[in-house]
Amino acid sequence: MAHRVDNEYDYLFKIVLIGDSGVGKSNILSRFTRNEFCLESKSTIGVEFATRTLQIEGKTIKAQIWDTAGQERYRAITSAYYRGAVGALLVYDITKKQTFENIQRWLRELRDHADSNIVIMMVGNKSDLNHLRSVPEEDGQALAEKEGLSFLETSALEALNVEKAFQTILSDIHQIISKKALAAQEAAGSGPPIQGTTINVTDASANTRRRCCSS
Amino acid sequence: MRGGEAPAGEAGSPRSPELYDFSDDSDYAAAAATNHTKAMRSDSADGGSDETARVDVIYEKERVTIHPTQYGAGISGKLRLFLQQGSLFLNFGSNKWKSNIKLYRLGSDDNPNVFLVNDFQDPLQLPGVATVANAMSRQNSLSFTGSVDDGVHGNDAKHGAPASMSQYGSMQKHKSNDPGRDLSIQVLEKFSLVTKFARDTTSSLFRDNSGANAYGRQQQEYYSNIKVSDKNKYQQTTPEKAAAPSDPLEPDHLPLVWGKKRERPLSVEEWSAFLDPEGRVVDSKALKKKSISATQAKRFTKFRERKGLIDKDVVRTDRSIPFYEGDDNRNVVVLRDILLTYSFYNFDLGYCQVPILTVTRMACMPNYLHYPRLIYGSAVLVYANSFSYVPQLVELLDPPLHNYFRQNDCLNYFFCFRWVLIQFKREFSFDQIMVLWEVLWTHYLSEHFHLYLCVAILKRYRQRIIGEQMDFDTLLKFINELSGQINLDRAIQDAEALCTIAGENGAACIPAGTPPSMPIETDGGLYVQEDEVL
Repeated sequence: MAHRVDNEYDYLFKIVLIGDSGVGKSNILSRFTRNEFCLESKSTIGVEFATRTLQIEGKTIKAQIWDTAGQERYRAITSAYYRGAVGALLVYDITKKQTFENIQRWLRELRDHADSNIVIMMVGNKSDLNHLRSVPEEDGQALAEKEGLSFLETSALEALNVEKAFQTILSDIHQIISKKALAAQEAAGSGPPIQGTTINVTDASANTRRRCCSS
Repeated sequence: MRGGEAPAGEAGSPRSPELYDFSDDSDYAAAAATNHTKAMRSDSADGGSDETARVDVIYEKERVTIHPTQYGAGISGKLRLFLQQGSLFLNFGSNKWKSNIKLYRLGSDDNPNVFLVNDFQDPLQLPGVATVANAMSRQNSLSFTGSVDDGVHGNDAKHGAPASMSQYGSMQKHKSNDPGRDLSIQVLEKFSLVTKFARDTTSSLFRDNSGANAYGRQQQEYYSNIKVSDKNKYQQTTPEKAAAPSDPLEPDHLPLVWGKKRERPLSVEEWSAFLDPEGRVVDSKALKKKSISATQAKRFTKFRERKGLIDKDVVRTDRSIPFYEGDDNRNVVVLRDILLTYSFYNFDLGYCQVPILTVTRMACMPNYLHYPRLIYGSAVLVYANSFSYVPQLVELLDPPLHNYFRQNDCLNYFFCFRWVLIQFKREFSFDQIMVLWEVLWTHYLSEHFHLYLCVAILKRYRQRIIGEQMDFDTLLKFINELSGQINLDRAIQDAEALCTIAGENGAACIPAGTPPSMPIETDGGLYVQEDEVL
């Protein structure tokens, strides 16, 4: 049942979750796809993934979220993991500075193994543990700006911003895809010379926000 | 201690630029990854030995080359193992220089060939620690004796000298700031799996007894030949007996440690004050003061990282089984302590998530000393890599299924990765796993029975896989979700049948050197990669 191929979608976007061990990747995944959270979830071995279908800008988008072990030395699965990924959620733990400092390593990993057009979003997780915070939100924001990434702080435990994070990255990806499709049309010579369509991302997420409550 | 190219084999292949080590400092990992030792066999006899007739050479190899750094030139010399008065020594050098390192038997009677390199004359010795004294002479000769000043390693190392192994020295001239000293350090590190942390911890243990530079007198007198596995015997060997072949390092000649006077280590009397007659620690609080302090711990990035990983892992391992259930469970703390302790002991080997499996094994099987070394560090690569022989077995035992995988871009068999890496730990309940591991580790039909089990499970679900035309993603998800669904007894029976049917052909699919489900030392070697462990 779980593995039945579902063809009722407009786009299938593969998103990878990366970041140090213990930052909460698996819980972000389970919060988004199953609305579950487990404080003592097992460490991930190998690769797992889950899917969720949602509406973005009037399109049915099937998000396939891949989750892997953050600390695995032997990344034999690396190639399969990044193959076909159009987005990456780069997660750190706001209470563990080291996980933030390792962001650069993960960016390097993405540069080396993922498609160069991959859309990256930086996520500072565990925002519910504000009293233990060791990475100021501004620092995260600054790094994201410097690297040209979008950024959000989330709490998988409190279901805060998890939905928004995925919607943002999925919208960004959809936007790029749409632009490409448009450009391809124009290149074909049939389309009028119009300016790039501006898609308001906030509107787009507002359209689908109701899922937030229902999920 | 085995040389040659043997352990590399298949193990070498997974090393590639795509290997990232996010749990360690990159420089550290890089050093571990790039250093390697090449040894060539030679039967030529020992010529330039200055050892006396009391020495029994039990193993000898000429032209052993050590490459201390990735770019540095190799150092060649003769490698010898010799027995003297019941102690085993490793000697490396040429006619210009040499080193002697004493080895201690670490293994139990079941595993007599596990040794540790040691230089501490104390029951508290930490394994894997052999260090270098400043013994570079003006003749560009070097001698691996005594200890390294941690300061040369970088900012997180402390000053102060660990206890030395002064009696193993052979050179008398000492000079600080010798350009060759880093080389000598690195060489010996490769020999000895020096664990910086262990060394430092030990040095801190000993340092507090400062106030005297007359280091060495007592320590030489109270030298103990310690068998870690048998602490009660730690006082059995007299210092005179333990002296190495040449012992020119009279206390007066004790080397400066890279220009600093070595601080006096804890003497046996001082140490014994912490122990009861059986060798048990009685005053752990007082002893703790002599171990790593909070500030010291803070300085060690790697220590902190590892500790962080271990802390993360223990709270999410098997917490649903009664033994580890609930908050503030004492057993969780014990598990953490075991892992942390082991991480100290074999710092170079690193830490992966898999060791928790190891601990479970330790609880199950007597000769557990193998596992940590197998599972930790790069050995994981070897282990993980063995899943890549599943395809050959499937090809042999179910060609149509293998064909299906080929046509659907599933030939990498990544879906079996987790099965093999943690030996089905996630696929079955804890009780089932105990049954399965017992079956696997008997090696009754094959020491690679776990690989046949993979084939058995795949075959059991072949109809669905092929019938539903699963692609790679779907298959991966399907296999992941089989967790808890697999009929264990049937799978074992299937695997047994497959293993019997495959016979010699099956065994031929699995190259020699592939780690078995239960590593049993057969030739004195562990299933570790040569480039990390000499």
